[in-house]
Amino acid sequence: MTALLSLLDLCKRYRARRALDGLTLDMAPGEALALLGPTGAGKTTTLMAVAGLVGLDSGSVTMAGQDVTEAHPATRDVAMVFEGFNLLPALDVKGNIGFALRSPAFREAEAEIASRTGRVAELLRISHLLDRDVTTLSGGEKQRVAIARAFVRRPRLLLLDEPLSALDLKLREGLRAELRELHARDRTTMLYATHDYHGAVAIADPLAVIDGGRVRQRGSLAEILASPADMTVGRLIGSPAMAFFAARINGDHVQAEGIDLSIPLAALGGAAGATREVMLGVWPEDITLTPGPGGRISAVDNRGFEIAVQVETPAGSFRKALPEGQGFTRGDSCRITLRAGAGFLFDPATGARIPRQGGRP
Amino acid sequence: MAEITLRKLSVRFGQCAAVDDVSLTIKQGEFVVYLGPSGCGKTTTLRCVAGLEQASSGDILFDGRRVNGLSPSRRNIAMVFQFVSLYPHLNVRENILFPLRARGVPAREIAERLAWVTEVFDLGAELRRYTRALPPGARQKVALARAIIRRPEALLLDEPLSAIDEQFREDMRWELGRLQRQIGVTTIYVTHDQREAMSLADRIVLMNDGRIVQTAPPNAIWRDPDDIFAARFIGSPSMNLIPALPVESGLRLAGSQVVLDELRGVPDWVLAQGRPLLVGIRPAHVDLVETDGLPFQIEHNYSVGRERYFRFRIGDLVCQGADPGGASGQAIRFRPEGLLFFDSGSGRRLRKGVRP
Repeated sequence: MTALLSLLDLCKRYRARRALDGLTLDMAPGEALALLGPTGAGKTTTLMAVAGLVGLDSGSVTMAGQDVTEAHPATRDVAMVFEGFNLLPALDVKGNIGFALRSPAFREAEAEIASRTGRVAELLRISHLLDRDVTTLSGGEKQRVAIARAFVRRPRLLLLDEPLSALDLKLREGLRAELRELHARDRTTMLYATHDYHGAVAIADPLAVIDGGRVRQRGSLAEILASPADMTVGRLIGSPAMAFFAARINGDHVQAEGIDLSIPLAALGGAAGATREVMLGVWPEDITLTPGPGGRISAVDNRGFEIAVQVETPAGSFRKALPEGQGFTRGDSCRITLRAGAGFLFDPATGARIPRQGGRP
Repeated sequence: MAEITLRKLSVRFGQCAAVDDVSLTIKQGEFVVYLGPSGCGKTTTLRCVAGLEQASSGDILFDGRRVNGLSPSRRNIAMVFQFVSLYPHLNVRENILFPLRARGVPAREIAERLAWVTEVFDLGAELRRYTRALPPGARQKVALARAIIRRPEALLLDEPLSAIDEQFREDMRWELGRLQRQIGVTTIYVTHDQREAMSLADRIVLMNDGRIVQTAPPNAIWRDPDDIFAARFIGSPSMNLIPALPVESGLRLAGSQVVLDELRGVPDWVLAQGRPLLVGIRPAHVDLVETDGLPFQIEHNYSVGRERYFRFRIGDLVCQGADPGGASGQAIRFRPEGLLFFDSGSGRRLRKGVRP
């Protein structure tokens, strides 16, 4: 299948700052892909480059096999939703949603506009607001209108730049579910940029983890969990994120300092080698805490049905969610054990994954 | 550090009561979180305590002393906002010391207090850096240090984490809880994020439409909500609320023939009067079982990250359950300890032995 969108080696500098540094990414038609990364990772610049709103220093943007790197934004058939709402204050809700359908380039018949506006309004639960002035809407309602306006066009590609981050948590949770449902029905190809892991996995699959203007890893959540590409990926994925322990390869074992953790290298896919310092990364779900020596619970976080604890150890600190009633309180000591075979080795200097032996990365 | 009392506080903007008859006492050193949706009056309440907003009626007391008429600068409170405003031309040290210098605090005391906040906030390595070079979480920490170094009567925080990236935000949340407990300053924190409220608060004050809905410690408000607003606002995904009617053998769930016979929590008078009610059950308290379950069709399994959920339908109502993984049953069981009951008219919680 031809990729709907293909970004090849995009580079972009803003004066001294490198926003995109060889970013490469493909999207299949109908995919909902989350671009997950911290502020300054290059998410917005990537979206703007796809939309044609920013000039690139080098690299190419291809849509459905056609090079659009130099094409005018209006000819690309993409729609973009920003964190701010950018609604047109002179028009009512219905006028805002239908606006793009009346543009000279994509003009539709009025009956068609009315039916499509009605349908998308129903999906986003704003049917009762269609005649309202947009200035009287709440933030959540405005963002629904902005999303409706982007969806109603049925663009080839929908670009969403942190569309929910200005909203209340509860509203955000509701809109995430609605976006997921919209996508399930329409299969509009969606590129969703966010710094929020929860938001990313709630709406999209696959994920592309971006940092420093490059895609660090692209894959389904399951793939990323099974084989994280580097430490950056580990820090951005999961809730809580990956635990890292300063460790050392000693003969055929990996040993973490001071926490009595010694794992046969073979279990991590490694072979005995020279003694060296490594970082041992483990998903918190693969860690078991029991009363005993090794770590100390330094903080406890209530989450209703579960608690999260922060554990300090001589080899590093990490957080882990526990079912309610597991009985750890602040100051308790805990022994740390890992599920057999769990864990990944990283180079502490570069953050890169140390490849497993036998072909498997 | 002060005990802060709000007595029948109201703030009206024209016809609209932004804060409507709010009373509350915040103990010395307590960490109270005002939680609620946009427009519920939480920020207006905070601004009243700071003196940035005038109460239309009611009193604000610091240690029993009425402060309504005092200007913000004379209340000796510190406030930190969502968007950090530090002086970009000063380094971290000078930013933190600014309020002391402005007050002409003697040099020896300045040095002592600086040493104290530097240690508490772990800012030793950052003191000489310019604030614009710091990551957002660290900037917010500097703003807090600057607020605290004055030894204020109270610390007021208005959504201090919501402009920060998710990863930093979680770090800061842990850090903030630790700091407040170490410093022991009376703190009022405003947020719409129930996760922040749950993890930080000694007590949550849940607000809606200008009124206090419920005041309780985080776990108590989760376990024991006073009404359907509290039940749905706290917890994610939200609690299922299923309309039901008392019948001879139990509670018949609306739109189905299913009768729930777990009635331990239902007051007798509700059963006797046959009053319609709402059965509340959190997704985490809905199990999938092979046998002896309620015969609802499981419609849809989905996962959000690693968490797995399923949906089932009772009449027209779509309900959610959380699936810890591996559950394979085709019937539903509500855990008895998770069942809560609400009056369907008022939305108030129905409690055994309590007659409204």
